[in-house]
Amino acid sequence: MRMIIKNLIKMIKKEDENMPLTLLKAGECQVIKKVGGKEETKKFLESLGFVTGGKVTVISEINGNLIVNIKESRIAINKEMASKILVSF
Amino acid sequence: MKGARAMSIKIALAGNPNCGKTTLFNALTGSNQFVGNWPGVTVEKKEGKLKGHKDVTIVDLPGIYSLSPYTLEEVVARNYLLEEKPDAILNIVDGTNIERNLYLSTQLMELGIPVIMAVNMLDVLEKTGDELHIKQLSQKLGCEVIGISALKGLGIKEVAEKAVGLAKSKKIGSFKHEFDLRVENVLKAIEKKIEGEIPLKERRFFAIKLLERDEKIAAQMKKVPDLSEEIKKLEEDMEDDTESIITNERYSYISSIIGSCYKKKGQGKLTVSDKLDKVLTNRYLALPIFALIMFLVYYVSVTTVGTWATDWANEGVFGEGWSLFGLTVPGIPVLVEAGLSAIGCAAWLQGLILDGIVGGVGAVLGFVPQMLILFLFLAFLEACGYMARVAFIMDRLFRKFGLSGKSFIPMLIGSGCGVPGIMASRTIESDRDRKMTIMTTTFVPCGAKLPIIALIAGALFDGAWWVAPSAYFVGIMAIICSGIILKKTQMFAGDPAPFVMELPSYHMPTVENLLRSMWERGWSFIKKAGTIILVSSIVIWFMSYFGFVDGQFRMLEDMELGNSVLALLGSSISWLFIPLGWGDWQSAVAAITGLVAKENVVGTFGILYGFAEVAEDGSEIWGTLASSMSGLAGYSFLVFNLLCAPCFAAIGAIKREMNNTKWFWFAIGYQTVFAYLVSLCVYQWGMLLTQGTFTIGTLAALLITFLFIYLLVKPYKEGSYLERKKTMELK
Repeated sequence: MRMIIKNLIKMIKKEDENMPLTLLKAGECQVIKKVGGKEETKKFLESLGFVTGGKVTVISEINGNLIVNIKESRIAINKEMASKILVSF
Repeated sequence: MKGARAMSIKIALAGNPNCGKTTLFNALTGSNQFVGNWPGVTVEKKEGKLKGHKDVTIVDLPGIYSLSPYTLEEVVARNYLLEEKPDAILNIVDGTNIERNLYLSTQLMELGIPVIMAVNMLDVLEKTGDELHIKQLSQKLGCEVIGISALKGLGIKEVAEKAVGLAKSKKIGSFKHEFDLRVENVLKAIEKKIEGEIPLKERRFFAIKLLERDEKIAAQMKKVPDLSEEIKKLEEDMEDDTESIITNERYSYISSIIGSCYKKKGQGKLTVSDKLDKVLTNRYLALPIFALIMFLVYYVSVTTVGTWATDWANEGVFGEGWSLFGLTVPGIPVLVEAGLSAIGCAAWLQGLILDGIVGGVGAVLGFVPQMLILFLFLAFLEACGYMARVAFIMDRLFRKFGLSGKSFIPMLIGSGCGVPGIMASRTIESDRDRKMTIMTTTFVPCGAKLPIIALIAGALFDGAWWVAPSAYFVGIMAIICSGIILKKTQMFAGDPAPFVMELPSYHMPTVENLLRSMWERGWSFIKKAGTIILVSSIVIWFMSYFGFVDGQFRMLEDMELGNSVLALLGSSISWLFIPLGWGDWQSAVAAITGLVAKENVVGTFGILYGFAEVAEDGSEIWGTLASSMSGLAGYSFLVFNLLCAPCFAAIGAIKREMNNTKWFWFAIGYQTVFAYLVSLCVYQWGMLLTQGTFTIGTLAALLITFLFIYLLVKPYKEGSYLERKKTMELK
């Protein structure tokens, strides 16, 4: 399922090859391309270290809610927030 | 000291959450600390005197990630730094997570206040083999940097001396970090525009904040220059909004200096915490593991060791007496009675002290040992880092009915006692989520409600096994339904705050830390027993031992409780409970005394039915109760007492945590009305189904049920409307 969605997104968005963080599997590591969402959300995520160009690693995943590693710290983030963070393929 | 002039120095401790700030604070101040509240908010600020320096005050600010005005903690910390202007900032930085921590540091250094940096967790760094060159870091940042280990007590003295020296010298560090040239040029232009109002040392901070369109900073200035031209040009130049430009500039500055100061060993390897998280937060194993841990905690603290401790406290210390290595130690009531008789105390005063004060307060204090055991376990789970994961695991479930995963911990603690449960809600940042948690936490049956359950189950249901689990089920359903209904009201409109939370590394907590946390929670409970419960015990005692007999107001004999003021009060309101099936004055009085402490309900029935003393489950009065109340009425009584306003101690906690009279009354009112309606439905539906009686009460129950179902399934209209309105206002 995950692969299908990934490929679909890849097909649609050939130009900028981004996908939401929620599609990463446990153990995968990617570079953040864009942090979206409301100003408040975005700023908070940025102060936690979610900035464009930063590397993010998924430690574990429960139904789209994630525990990730960013800049040496471990952050739990729910699906809604994680979908605001776009990473490269 | 030379010169009698008292020179008081204030040093603010600032840093990210979880970087060891509080540990350092305790190490710096020793035991001389006190806890004060920030005005108007529940975020706590601690203040203490530096050990060995009576004139130096250390202020522990809430943990923050940045100085932007988006969370309560950030606003509180920023306002303190800007308005109170401490003499120096001691910026504590987690050495194992230096990059993210320095993000805040770059902002602190712009404030125009001398900054000294303490890099914490040197011991952990040593263990992992990572290298950090403190001297180089200090040179690059342009401020003094000292390596410490707050936990092991290394470097604390040095950092304290240096901080005091810095505060006295008032020397602001030479400013090293610079942004992109384009940004710097705009900043210079802005600085020029605000020259007249803002002093030189604070000018850069204000310029950056104005560039970031920070409205709260603009509101503090008398004359705000128009910067729309500059902002627009910069945003077009760099293809981003100014806030993100600044954020990115800060991080790229940090990465540019960090490379030469910090060398990580074993890059990309999983740490022990990561490995533990792979198991403990595994998508399949997380819930079973959690259930097992909770079962163990409760098994030990409620049934085995807990029961032993509670029995010792209730029947020993606050009862007949207990034995210590074969020596019989008399209980407090026995001692007090002997003492009072010896000094020839008046009978009524003796009654007040023994039955009213010692009995009332003792009943509550009896729960302390059991609670301390539970608190010790919870403190361990919290300190080792597991609780943060629990909040994460439960978030998905709780979100469905309008609460956040962080609401789970207060409810867990609330199953022991509502008071610390309500207090634990303080860790929830979102105002909306916190208020909702406070309102629903006491629906969980607490330890003191267990005797009521035992009484009803024993007297009216022949000790049926399902009564106790059903009480928990009623509590949990009350939380879920309240969450869903409240979410649809205007004041709770919208979704719970999105869940983002830093998870600390797993580590073995220190014994000292565990005991401190256990004691803090336990002590605030004991303090309540000494104040609010003491007063209400006295009032209830007077009301039950004084009354009108043959038109004369006098003190009553033991068996004349029917004439007491309390009975009068009970009869005057008992009609309210007729639709609930228990309209006799005894039950009404029992429900009232339940407000003092829930376990009072059983004792009150005992007194009212003419038994001087009853066992905890009231087995003596089972027969009498069964003859005066039907099973259905009994269950309705149980439901009402489980859900209605909690005991005075918990009501006091709600008042303090809400910190707002209107919200406080709303919470209490909601709980009581909710309890009344649910009990009414239980009784009336039960009567209809078992006896086939249809009265006006049945009609009311039907209407309430329909209204209830309507509220549950009604779409979230107001929520989205309010959201839209808000966003429109912002535009």
